[in-house]
Amino acid sequence: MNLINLTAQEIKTKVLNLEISPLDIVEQFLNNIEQKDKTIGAFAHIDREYAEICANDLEIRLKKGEKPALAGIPIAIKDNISRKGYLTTCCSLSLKDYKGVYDATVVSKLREAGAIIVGTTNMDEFAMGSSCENSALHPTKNPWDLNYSPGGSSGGSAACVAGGLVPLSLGSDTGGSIRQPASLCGVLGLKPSYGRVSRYGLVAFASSLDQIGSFARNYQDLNLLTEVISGYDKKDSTSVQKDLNLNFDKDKTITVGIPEEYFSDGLNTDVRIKVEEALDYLTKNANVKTIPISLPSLKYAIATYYVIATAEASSNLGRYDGMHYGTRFDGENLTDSFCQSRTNGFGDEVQRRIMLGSYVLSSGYYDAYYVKALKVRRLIANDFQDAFTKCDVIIGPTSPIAGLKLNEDVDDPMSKFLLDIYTVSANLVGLPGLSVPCGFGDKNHPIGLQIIGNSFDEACILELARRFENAGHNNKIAEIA
Amino acid sequence: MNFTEDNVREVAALARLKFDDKKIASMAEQMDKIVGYVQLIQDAPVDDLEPFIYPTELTNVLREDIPQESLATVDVLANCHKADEHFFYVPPVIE
Repeated sequence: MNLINLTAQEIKTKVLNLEISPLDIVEQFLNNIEQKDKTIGAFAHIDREYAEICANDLEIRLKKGEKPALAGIPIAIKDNISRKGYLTTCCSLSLKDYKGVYDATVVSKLREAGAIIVGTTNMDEFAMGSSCENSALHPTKNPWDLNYSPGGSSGGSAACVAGGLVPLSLGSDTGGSIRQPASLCGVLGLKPSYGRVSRYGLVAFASSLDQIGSFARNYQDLNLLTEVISGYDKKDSTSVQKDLNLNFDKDKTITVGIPEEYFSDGLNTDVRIKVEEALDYLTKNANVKTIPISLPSLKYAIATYYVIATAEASSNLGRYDGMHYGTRFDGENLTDSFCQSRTNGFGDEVQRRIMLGSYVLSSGYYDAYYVKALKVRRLIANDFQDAFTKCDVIIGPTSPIAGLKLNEDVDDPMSKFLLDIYTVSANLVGLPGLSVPCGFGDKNHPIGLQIIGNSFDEACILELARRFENAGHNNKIAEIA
Repeated sequence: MNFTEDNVREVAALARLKFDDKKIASMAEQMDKIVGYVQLIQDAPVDDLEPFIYPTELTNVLREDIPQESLATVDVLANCHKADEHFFYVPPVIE
């Protein structure tokens, strides 16, 4: 039986009916991954041994009559999520041999749910980037067009789902790092509300913005994984005691706010057309009412994001000094060893962001940049608060472009920053955001529709994904030679 | 210029990074562009607004002071460049 193109739900059903064994799944999926990933490079580390451990554990539980929620479903996790005893490198030279000392809470939950973790996925180093080209390992290619990037920073997690290597994966999203690659790879990608999913064991980039979330090829699979990973965790002081309830009134009219700022200059024509078609579909077929809204502070969002994210990153990455863990490069003395380890261990993008973060936090600039950005963050939050008095969700494009060519604008750091224009606000405010596929552009590159919900209202955005299902954009798998 | 080569040297020292002259020049050029761009926030009307630090209200989480299992020393030392049974080895701190 060929299992590769099945949905996560279908695999689970077959496993629980004992039609297939967990070890059969490991055999088929790992063989397929080992062969096809040579072409796209979605994985940082393929872990057959770990997958077999997961499968053997599940086999024992199935014999006891247990029916775990993700039974036998192969899943890949981003290389910044800790697993005890296994490589967690953030695709950085500074952590190239680092093995997790404990399991992240999401890993514990996946294991408890009977998932089979097949390896870790490629990413921009420390999740800093939008193209996966900042990985110290290798770039990942978009399975729909090998000359193009899958996006980033969770590019590997998006590419392996789009290419049919796994039905589900986990990523992390600090400024769009789940939604943007989901959009560019034609899959669904959900950044839950800040606090919804425990970040214990997620290597920190920007702690007030980071959130773990899921990739899938259809909304049912996405819901399944989201339900498993959500929930309060006493090990993460920012996780919130609110139960996830995805039940939503299927007859309710959903009011969608369309921000004029999301459709202004700079939006690719293909993207505009597909997003407008999707809105037209929703209005005609999905009991949706649209209203125009305005988010006037959007123009400050990227600048605000880059001040706050880099300030937090410069502090979080202070721990990589080569002393307690990580790669050490010896210098002339202690301080010089710190400098050598960090300069040789971090790539250019990470160094630039540490420099900006250190600058905006330094004496004389702290108020002018960091505190000012925190106040602008309030302004942006107020815009969203106002908008959600008029609508249930906000819809626009996920990314302003339909394809991101590999090796383009590598010397211009600003060019990739600007690709985050539609995604960073949800992180600044802590809102849930979902990218769902809404078609392909003229050059056959996928395009994503972004649905931003009110805080902790994942149910509404996932209901819209359900209502959009019949538009016919789910479950697309790119052929990989 | 928003960001000069001297700025690069000063901030690199704070960040414990060390660049050669060529890298200092390219870093100054790139940082100048980035810092120039983020000036945009200076125009935002925020005088009456409070800083927004976290998306959720953080509250103190208190618990009873009960001993719990912590990470094993051997696991913690496993990722170190050089260690003995109990200690990290680091370059001399006092010379």
